[in-house]
Amino acid sequence: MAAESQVTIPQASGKSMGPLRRHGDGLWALLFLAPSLVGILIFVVGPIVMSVLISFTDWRLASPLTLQSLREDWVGWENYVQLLTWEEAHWSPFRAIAWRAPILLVSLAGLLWLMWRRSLGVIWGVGLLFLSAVLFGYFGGLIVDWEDRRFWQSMWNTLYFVGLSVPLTVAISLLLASALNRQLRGIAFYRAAYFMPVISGAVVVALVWRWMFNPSIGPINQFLGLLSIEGPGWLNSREWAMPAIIITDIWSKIGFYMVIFLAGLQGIPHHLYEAAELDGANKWHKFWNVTLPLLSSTTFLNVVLALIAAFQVFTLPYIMTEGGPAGATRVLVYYMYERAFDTPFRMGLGSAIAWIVFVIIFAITAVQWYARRKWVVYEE
Amino acid sequence: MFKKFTSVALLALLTSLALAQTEIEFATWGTTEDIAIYEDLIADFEADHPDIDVVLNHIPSAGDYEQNLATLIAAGAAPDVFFINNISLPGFAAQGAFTPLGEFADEAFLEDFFPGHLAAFRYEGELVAIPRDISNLVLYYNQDMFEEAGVEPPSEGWTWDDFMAAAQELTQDTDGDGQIDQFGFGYSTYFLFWQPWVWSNGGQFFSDDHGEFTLNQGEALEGLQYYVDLRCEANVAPTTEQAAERTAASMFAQGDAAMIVDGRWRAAPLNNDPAVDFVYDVAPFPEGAAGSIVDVDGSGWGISSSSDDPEAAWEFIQFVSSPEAMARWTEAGIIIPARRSVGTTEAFISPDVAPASDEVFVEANETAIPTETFEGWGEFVSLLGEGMSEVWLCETSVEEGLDIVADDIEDLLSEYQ
Repeated sequence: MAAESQVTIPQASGKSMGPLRRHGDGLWALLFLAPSLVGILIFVVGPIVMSVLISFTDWRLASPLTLQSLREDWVGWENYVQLLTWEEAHWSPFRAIAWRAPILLVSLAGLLWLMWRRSLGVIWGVGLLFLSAVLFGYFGGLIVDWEDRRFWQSMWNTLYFVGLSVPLTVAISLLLASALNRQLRGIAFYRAAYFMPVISGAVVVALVWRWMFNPSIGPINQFLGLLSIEGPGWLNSREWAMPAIIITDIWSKIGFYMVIFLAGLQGIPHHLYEAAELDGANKWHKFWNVTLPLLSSTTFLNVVLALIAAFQVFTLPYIMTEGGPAGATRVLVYYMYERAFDTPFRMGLGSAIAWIVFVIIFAITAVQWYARRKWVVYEE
Repeated sequence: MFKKFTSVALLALLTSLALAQTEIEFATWGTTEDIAIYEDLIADFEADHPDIDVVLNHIPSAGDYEQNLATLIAAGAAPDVFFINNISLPGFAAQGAFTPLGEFADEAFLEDFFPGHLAAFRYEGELVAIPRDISNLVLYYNQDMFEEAGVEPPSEGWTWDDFMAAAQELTQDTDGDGQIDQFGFGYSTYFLFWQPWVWSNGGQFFSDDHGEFTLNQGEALEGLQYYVDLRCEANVAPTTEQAAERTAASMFAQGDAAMIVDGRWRAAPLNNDPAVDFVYDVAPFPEGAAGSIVDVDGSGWGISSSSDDPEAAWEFIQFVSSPEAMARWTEAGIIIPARRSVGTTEAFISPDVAPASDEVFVEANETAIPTETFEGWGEFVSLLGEGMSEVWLCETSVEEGLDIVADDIEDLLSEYQ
């Protein structure tokens, strides 16, 4: 199919246009693209360039933004220095292991097992992130007195969020897709049901889950109470607030990734499964040796999308906890919002935070892009 | 068709040039009732001043108002006149957002306002806004509940000890299921509502020059800890769990709390709520070691520094801040008027409408002080929230909670010295 269309298109265009006219094509194309190009320049490129400039200033929102005000407020690298430097650093013995450690270690073990089993490059990346979050956040180690405590607090909180929500979201949506990838009566209902949260507004999701997690009147703790388990304070608890937000995030996102996985699953040729069966493969064998490798390009896409989305998490902590309690759910984008939109509206610092988040996302995506060659299988 | 259009446009252009219309944009937040009054006033103003058009920019959510306003200013589209509260005023004034009002507002004009209250609308000595309303706090109490429990109602000279004794009497398990379902006091964790406990104990948030953070020491710490203990130790106020998402005001309205500390704005909703089947009144905030000191904050109108026509803008401010205009919001029960003359009229003190002791609101101004705001107040509140979040959950003391953020707050203060 693909080869066919590649051949026919040049032929058709070659016939209809002479070489001279083709020379003018670029200009014509530009002219037709102009409306959207102008839009992109004004609404995308312009703000991006401005935010780079603003990140080098101490410009504050309550004063008019002009080229001259940018020059007057210019501070060079000061915002970046404030965010990235430390006042003092020393080695500290292990801190008490938080309750989260066991859960983190179990998931880490799962990740390591996956790596050993398939040596999946992406999982390496995620695993490393995860490992550093575990080491720094939970066991102590090098204790750094950062110049900007809240920036690094939000950095670790973000890594904690990314480290748990990305692998779990991708894994659960893959399992769901596999379960729903069959011809059953009413299967469309189930697929639609899992997709529902995706089309619900994030604010609505956050408000509903804030009620779900309410320790005294929320259904989650009432359900746990039926099992004679005393539920935690969830959003009121420094330990449980982030897991609660991660649970909500996973719930609201799996539908989206599931749909992409479903599309990938339906692209796997059936004869490969038949061949595997002839070789005596059971369900697991087929999943590990046929489904996973042939789905790897879809998995790659999903991991990239999920990582980018996870680094930009904002609405859930904003609505559910306002970054609390005690800053336990203050993530990078939320901190950016606080600095830029609370008086005195430090837009310069906020823009600098935004660019640091961009560099992190860019670096991780670049690493994944190169690692992709190692583990993503393309059907020949 | 096209010709017709151009001729109409030309005509419009000519007439507008002929009338030399000035257009001033006015930005405010406000409830539906509030805006209805503004719309009336603007119509009257335009009838009086045919050469001035007022465009009302209503930004409904008070929470996003400052961000919206700041964004308008950043974009060079600042409204000529904008409404602002004294707490966020320094954040804007420091960026030069205001036209100083010294040359417009003479002494005769300002005579009718409380000097202490005007001070809250000055920045570095210059008056930058004309106040509309005063928000201060008093003690609301449920008279029926006091009578039933046989407790003497609050009066002037009531101390914290009297308050505590009454609150303990009024905290009851009315249906005998082992759970408290009537509290002596409804609880709020927002700073506006607990500042009086700090100040009335003789403490301050900051040193006078905003050079030092003092909320975590001495009388200030003691006062705030006393307030925390109302909930966490004495349990005369509900914990977060006991309150189960109900606000202090809603618990008071439902008869689940005998007392709350609240502002004038609470009276209208209580009077309009058919579920409120009890008599209530107000009393001064109970006296601590340093007396009864509550917040006196408020909102007012300022002129943008980039206004093309500050004279027209001032005309408008004069109009909406006139005693007649202020009486309208006062009658509607929306505000305590910033003008003394309006505060002593029937518009404010109406004997037929609860609460009976309206004068308490005016008298509180004798000792009240404004919130200790400064340029970085927004960030301070977010740091304060971080430090206090586990204190409100009764998991740690005020001192330990504030320890987490004390360094950051000191840094913040030094940044704006």
